[in-house]
Amino acid sequence: MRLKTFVIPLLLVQLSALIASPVWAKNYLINVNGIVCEFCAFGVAKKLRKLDFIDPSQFEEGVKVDIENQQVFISIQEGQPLDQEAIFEAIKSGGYDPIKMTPMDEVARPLEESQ
Amino acid sequence: MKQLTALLLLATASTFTSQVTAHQPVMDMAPRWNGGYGAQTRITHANNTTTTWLEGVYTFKPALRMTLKVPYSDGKNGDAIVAMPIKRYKNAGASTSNWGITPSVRMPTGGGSDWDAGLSLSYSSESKGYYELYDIYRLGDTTGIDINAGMSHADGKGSSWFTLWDISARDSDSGQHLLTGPVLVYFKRNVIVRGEYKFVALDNDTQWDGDYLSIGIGMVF
Repeated sequence: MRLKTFVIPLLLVQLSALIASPVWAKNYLINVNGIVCEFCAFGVAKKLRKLDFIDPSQFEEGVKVDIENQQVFISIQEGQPLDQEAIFEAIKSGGYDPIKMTPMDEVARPLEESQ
Repeated sequence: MKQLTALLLLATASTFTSQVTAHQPVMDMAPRWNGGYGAQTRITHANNTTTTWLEGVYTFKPALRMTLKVPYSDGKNGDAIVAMPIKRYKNAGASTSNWGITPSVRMPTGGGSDWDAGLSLSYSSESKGYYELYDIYRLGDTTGIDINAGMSHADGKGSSWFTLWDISARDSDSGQHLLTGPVLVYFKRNVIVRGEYKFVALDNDTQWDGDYLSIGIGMVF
């Protein structure tokens, strides 16, 4: 009887918390100079996907390139530290110049906090 | 090991759509990333001869590549061309461009004994919806000018069409000829397909006869 009294409410609380919590989406937008070609952008996406903190379940294996607006979207795995230097270096080694990186959504922590 | 594999791939050659002509870097647009490599094959028909080109490229870094082109026709290999494109990129907002200087060597792998040196100067630029490439070169006794310009159409899902117009002029010991015609290029992720048909606009060349057709397919990694 005592077990039911404590366990059931506890399970209900946990279940409701699970339902209410947003899907983890630590997504970032990166403005990249000159990225106007799908074919050329293949290398940038390839380099970014090699970073071990990229979340492959988001976007297209963790990365999406928007050549219309010269933007790259990436998703960071939950609990992983954000390494902006590694991200920028990956884009540079892909042949393009990153300008700035901005968190996209509410659940994403500010850059200063995650570094 | 990766570089060895890429160089082996380069050496054994391959596929893909070359940006323009025999002297040129295999792919002007890609791979422009560190450690990128690619292969392409083109089939060309000109002067009543069909030639299969096996071509490879390895990118050490965006500013430095190595390319190899090996022609094959009439049951035997022709003279292979090795080149080292050196590029200076400029990325600015919604456009990217590069200046290139490409030293090359044509080796007598087709059975001859002459080695030829070459040098190419090029500029290409791409912005939203527009692409252009200009190239002037000297290889052996031939001086050439190539111009590609036209529209690009991206679908935002990883593929693009390019509809270009090509002008190719040649001056050699045998005379001069000028070819011009449409070029159609299709990209899908890391695959490129390119077809071009050029007709004779001017022909004072004793070694040239008729129109030019090229179809190619390639991949980059």
